[in-house]
Amino acid sequence: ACGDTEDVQQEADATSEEAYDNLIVSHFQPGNHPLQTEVLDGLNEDLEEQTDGRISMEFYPSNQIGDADSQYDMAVTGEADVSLSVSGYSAGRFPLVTVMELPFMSESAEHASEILNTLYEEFPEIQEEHHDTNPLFLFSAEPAQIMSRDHRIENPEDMEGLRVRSPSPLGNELIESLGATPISMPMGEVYEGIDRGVIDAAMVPFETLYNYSFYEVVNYVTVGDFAAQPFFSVMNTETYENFSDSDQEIIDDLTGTELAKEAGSVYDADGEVGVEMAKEDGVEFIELEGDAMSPWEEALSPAVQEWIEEREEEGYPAQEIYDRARELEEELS
Amino acid sequence: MSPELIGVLGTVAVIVLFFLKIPIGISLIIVGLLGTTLIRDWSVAFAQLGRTPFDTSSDYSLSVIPMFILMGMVLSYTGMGQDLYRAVDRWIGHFRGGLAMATIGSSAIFSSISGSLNATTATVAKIALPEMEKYRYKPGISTGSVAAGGTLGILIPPSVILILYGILTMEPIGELLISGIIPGILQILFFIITIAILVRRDPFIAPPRERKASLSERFYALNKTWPFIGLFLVSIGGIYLGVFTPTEAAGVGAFGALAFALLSRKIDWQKLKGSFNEAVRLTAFILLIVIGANLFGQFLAISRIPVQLTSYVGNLELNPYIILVLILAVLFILGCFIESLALMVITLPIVYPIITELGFDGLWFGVIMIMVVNIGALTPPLGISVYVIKGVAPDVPLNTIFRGVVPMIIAMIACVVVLIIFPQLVTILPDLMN
Amino acid sequence: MDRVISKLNTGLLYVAQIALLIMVLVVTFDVLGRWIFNQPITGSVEITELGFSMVIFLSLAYTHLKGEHVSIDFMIDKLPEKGRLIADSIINVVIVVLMGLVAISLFWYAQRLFISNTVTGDLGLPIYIFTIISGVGSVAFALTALLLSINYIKKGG
Ligand code: NA
Ligand code: NA
Repeated sequence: ACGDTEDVQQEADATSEEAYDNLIVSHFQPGNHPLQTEVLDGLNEDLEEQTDGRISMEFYPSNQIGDADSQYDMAVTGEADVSLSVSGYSAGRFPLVTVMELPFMSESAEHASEILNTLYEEFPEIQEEHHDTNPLFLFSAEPAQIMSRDHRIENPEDMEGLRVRSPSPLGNELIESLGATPISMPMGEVYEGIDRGVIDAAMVPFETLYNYSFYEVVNYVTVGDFAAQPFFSVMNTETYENFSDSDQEIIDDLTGTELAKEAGSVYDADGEVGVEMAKEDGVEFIELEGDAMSPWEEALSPAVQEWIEEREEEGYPAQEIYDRARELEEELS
Repeated sequence: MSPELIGVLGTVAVIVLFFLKIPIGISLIIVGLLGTTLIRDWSVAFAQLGRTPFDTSSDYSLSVIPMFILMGMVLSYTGMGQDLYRAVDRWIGHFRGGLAMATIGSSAIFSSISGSLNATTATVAKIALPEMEKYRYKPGISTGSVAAGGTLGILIPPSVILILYGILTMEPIGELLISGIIPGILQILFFIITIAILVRRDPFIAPPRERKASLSERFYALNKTWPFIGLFLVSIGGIYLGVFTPTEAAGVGAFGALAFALLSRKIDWQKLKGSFNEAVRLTAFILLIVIGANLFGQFLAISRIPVQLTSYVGNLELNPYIILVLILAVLFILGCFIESLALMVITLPIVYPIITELGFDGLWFGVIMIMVVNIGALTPPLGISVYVIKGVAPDVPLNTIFRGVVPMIIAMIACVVVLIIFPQLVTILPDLMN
Repeated sequence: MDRVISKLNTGLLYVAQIALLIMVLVVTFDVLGRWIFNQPITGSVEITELGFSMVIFLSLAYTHLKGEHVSIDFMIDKLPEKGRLIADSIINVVIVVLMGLVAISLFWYAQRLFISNTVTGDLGLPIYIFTIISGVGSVAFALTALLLSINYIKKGG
């Protein structure tokens, strides 16, 4: 219904469903999360403005129309026109974006988001794992650090025998290769876990110092940028293809790397607040830099090698992707 | 048709299907499927029809349900209910109306391992009714106290309905369970006071007993209740101290119950099979409703009714307490006709956002709501407890049972009023947890 | 037919009960392992979740056979006996149709999970297998309703 006679058409079409698309946007964060109130709302405003109101978004936060780990499938089937969630919640589905979960790949969420989105644009194999939707932007949370109440962790050996909350299945392997025991635990329980000694440490991003008040229970933070968590925001293919070429172009222009960076910076902003609060509370930050880093790289390199080998065996150019990611890490920092 | 109109019609359709004897879970699924097809598309509706049931049935936080139920089933199959009742009777049975009070007391203790109203009512009814008949209690007071005691099953943790409230509203389950403790104790006191008043007004309804049990007899009997108390302390105490998640508490509790029953040889192969059999069946019937509730809730969400209604009520210039009382009154009336689980799942998506928007505490409302829908379990025409009791005591006319619960309902309303005036009674324990 | 369906349901119910037992054991030993031996059970959460789906779907049919899915019967039960039997038969036809659709939708979901290679995080278990099992449970539920529907008609006729 879009075309040259737009102005005349618009009034007539106001009541028809095709002319005005109210996209169903489903995501896993609460409705007051900046991911909605800043990033998605901003996208919505731009869309409405640039398409003269032909496209707008209607938000369904907090998994109210489907589980966090089904958000991607919902965009595949069209239950949601747009969905956003954590890639790792659908294990096995995205073998390549997990490259961001490897250690030392990024230094902030914005940084990680830019790397991830660039990798997506450069590698057809990463596009292929999202072939059943039309991705809008891939982004990332902040890299995880190691936080502990009682243990000042500076060397990999300090991790020996500790019970550590793991961020992901790949995180399990990282933790195991440091000689520690990975524990899977929902984020909501980590505070108490640390406080009551159920776990000795947690591999979590700075943002949790603030959002989960970890600054109250944690005394040491080892800053090594161990693993970042990739997210997706994708559109149902049919929804996308039903738009006119010009509208598709508007969508393409408004999404992509810039929006990914904006989404990442939401997590960085919380992270900064968290670090601030923790410093005020006397938490010690142990920065792993230069020489302090090498034993960690050594200890974790088998896990990285394993990630590469496993995927190479499955026929993915994993080495190439990993190398390029490291390159981008330097280039974009 | 606008989505909102489809939403309204869908809600009406659910209630019509209920009354046509379509199982509650099935009714909810039907309306969810058709409603989503009308608002969106059939392909969307069928995608949901496959995904939501599976996602619901593999939800970690819901998996506490079968394990808590199993814990309760194993202990009730051990025949320990009898010992429990005797023990409580030794302590308070000599008061006037003491057997009725002992019924409340043993219901309370049994509730501490049972997550369900039906399980508590049926178990205590089987033990307490014959006992009270023996001492020539009038049927009104005996059945009334059993029915009242049964409602403690879902107020004192663990409680399947409180767990579901947590799932449906995303309130933290551990804290919800803990928040039921003080209201549960308060409710016990109110029931006992009610019995005392009833007996004072008409001594003939509960003839006195001849003798008091000696102190040694009392402690000997008390010894029999330790598995209940022990399991309660381990599972709920574990949640309170943050040692366990609710799911872990349920698993450990069920394991503890099994271990105790096997080691003390209180359970044989038949009973063991029976308790597993009953646990999975109860789970199936509850979860079919929850699956339906989720599909229906997703349909309601895309109809935009909850959002619209929330902003409408939020803009009303009414005192929040008036709106609260109106909502509770509607729940109370609906509760007379609709099974409490089903009532909760169809109203919560609409009611919960309104309540929190008005500034009320979500945990607190969970407890209040459960107490109100609990009343529906005692009222005609659908008072489920009353029918359970009727099943155990077929000779007592339904009318007598319904009349017997009237004073208990007044006690429950009084308890709700107290908790509305003093919300701290609900929130203090979960607050202390943090 | 009665026999076959009753056998099928009992069989599925056994599997459901074993799944429940496994859930209890895994959760308990995970907790004990974590506290005492510093060695939790890998994948305990996903075993619990998948076991739970089997507990539910494999006991739905048996529960229906026992007439335990809650429904509000006081209106229909006011009908004369013949009307009641016809109503019960129709209700079961509704269940047959609906659970048939649920089963098809579950198989479709299983197909999507299979194609996208979705597995569990810790153990890498393929989720589609459990979705298919859930579909089988739904088929059993539909068959049970079909049987009951026929039996009600026979009694009424
Ligand atoms: Na209970
Ligand atoms: Na919850």
